[in-house]
Amino acid sequence: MPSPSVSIGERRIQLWRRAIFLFDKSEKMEGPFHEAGYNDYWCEGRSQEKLTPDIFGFSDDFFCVCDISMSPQKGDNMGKYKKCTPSEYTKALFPSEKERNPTGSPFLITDEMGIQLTPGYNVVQVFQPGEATIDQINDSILEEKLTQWQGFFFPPPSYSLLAVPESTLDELKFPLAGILKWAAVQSEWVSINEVAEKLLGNLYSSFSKKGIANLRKNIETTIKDLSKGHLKEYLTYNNENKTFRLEVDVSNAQSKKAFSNRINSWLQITPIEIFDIDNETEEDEDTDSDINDD
Amino acid sequence: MVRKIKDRKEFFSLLQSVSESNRNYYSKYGNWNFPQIKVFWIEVNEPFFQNVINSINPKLLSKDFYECVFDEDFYWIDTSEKRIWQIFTFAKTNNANRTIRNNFTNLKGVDRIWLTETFMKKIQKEMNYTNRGFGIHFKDILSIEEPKSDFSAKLWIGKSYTASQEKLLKVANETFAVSSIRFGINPSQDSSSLSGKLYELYFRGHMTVTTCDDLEDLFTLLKFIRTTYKNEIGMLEKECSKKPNFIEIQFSESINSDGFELMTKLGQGDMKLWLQSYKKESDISRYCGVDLHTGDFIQIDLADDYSYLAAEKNACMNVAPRFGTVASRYLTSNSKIIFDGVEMFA
Repeated sequence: MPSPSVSIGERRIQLWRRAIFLFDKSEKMEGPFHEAGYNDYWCEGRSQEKLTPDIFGFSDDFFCVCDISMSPQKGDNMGKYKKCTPSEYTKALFPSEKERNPTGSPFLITDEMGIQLTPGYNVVQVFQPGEATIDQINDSILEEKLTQWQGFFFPPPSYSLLAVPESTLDELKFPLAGILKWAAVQSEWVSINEVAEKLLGNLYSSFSKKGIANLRKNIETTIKDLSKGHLKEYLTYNNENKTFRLEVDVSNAQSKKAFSNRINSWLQITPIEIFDIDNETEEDEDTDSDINDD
Repeated sequence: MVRKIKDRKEFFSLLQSVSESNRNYYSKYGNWNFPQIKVFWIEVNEPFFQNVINSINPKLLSKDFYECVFDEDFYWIDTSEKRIWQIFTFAKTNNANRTIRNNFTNLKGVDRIWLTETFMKKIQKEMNYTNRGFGIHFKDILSIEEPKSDFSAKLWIGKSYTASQEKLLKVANETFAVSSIRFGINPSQDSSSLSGKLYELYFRGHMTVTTCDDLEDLFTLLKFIRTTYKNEIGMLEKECSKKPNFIEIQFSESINSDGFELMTKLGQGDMKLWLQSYKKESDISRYCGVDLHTGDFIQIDLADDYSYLAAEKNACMNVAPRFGTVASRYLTSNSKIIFDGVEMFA
C-alpha cells in the first residue's frame, strides 16, 4: 500500500522530503537518524565503488547508506550497497577524527507499507504510521531510535524540491507560475535548464540525466505554449537557445497585478485585486518632545 | 540649521555639539534646542553596491562617507561596512522614513534591516542598558473596509513602576507586536537634568538618540547592532549554501494565512515577496516565487503557527528577519527565527 499521494510525481516529492527529514529536525519533530547523531547527510555522493546511493548519512562514529524508492521490488537491488563506502571526497566533506564504521546493512527508504523484509537491508517506511524494519544495525543508538520512531506527525519542509521528472504537465503548472514571477524580475534571458534547476532545487544532481531531460521537455512545451497563448504579450521564447524572457515592469504595482492575473487565468484562479498596502505608513512618532520620563 | 560638513570628523563634532547643546538647553528650558539624531540602517547587497551609489548620487565627503539632501533634510551615509550602511539625519522620523523608502529601499538590492523584538532586547541586554519602555503599533493594512483599525501607544517606564502598572505593560506586550524599545543609562537622580544615554530602537531598523553624553558609547552601540545583524544573516547564508536546508519561523499565535496570500500574491508592501501558492496540503500551504529585494528564488511553507523558509544557494538571507518581523506586525503578534534548533537574531 503506497503513500496517500495520488500521483507518482507527488508521491516521489513527498518521499524525498521525508527521507531527508530523517536526518533533520525542526521545533516540532526530529528524524530518528538525526536523533541518533546523524546530523550530516549528502545526497548522491559517490562511493569508493563508483556507486551513487541516494543518501550518505554521517554521525561521529558511523556512516549509513540509503536508497530511496517507491518500488516494492527495489529491495532486490539493495545488495550492491552492502559493501558501499563513501569516497574520499565525500568523507572530506564531513571530516571526523577517526575513521567511521558502516552502520550495518543499507537502508531502503520507501513509502510502500508492508514490504516483506529480505535479509541484507533495513527498511524505513516514512508515511504514517512510520515504521522501521531492521535487518542489521551496528549502531545501538540508531537501532533504538528507529525502533521507537512512530513517524512524522507534521509535514516536512519542501527542501526546495518543487517537482520531479515524473511530475505531469498539470502538476508542473503551479510551481512554474512561481518561477515565472521570479523570471519576470530577472534582467537576462532564462534558460529552460535554469527552470529545471529551480524545480529540483538542491536535489538536481540526484536525478538521472534522462529524468532531467524529460522534465526539460515538459518545461519547454509549457513555456512555448505560454509564449503563444496566455502570456504572449509578456513572454518571448528563443527556440534556438532554449531560453526565454519576460517583459514586466515589476516596479509598477498595476503591471505586477496584470501579470499576476494573467498567470491566474492560466491557472484558472479568480483574478485578484490590489490592496492599499504599497503605501503603508506605519509611522513612528517622533520623540522630540517626549523626553520627560525620569 | 546644519552648518556645512566637510568630512567625517566634522560630522562627529556636529553630533557632539548637538548632543551637548540639547542637554544644556533642556536643563534650562525643559525642551530641545536641536532635533534629535536618528540613525537608519539599510542592507545593501554586495553586487548592487555601485548601482545604489550611482542611483542616489551622493556627495563624497571622505572615504566611505557621503552626504545627500532630500526635501531640504541632510542625510549622511556611512558605507564603511559595505553591506550594512548607516544613515544619520536630523530629519523628523516620519520624513526620514519616507525618504528612506522613496530613495533607498525602492532600489533593487536595498532593504532595511529588520529587528525582531528578541533582537532588540538582545541589544539592550548585551549592552547593559536599562529597560525604559516600549512602543506598540497596530495598523490593519489588510482590511478593505474603512475606517481601518489603527492603534498605537508608547509605554515609557520610569525608574520604578507599581504592580498595577506592570499588569498594563504585560498585557500591552502580549497583545501587540512591539514596534520599538527604549533603553539607556541615567546615573542622575535629578529629573531636570539630562545625563546619561537614552535611545529608542525601532523594528524597521532605525534608532532615535534621545540623549547621549558619550559619543564613544553611541558608536559602540551602533557598531554592535550593525555587526551582530550582519553576522547573523551571514551565518544563515553560509549554512544554507551547504546542503538542502530551511529556516524555521515560529509564530506566537495562528498566522493570518489570507493576509499572507494578500501580501505576497502581488508582491506588495514591506514583505517584498511575490509568490505563488503551488500546493495546498491539509496542514500546510507551499509557496514559491521571488524575493523582490534581490531577485532570488525562494520558497515558503506556511502552517498554522510556523513556517519553513528556503532559498536558492547564495541567496540573500535578509528575507528571514524581514519575513519574521513583517509577519509579526501584520499577520500574528510575535515570531522567532530558528535555524538548526537555535533561535537567530536573539
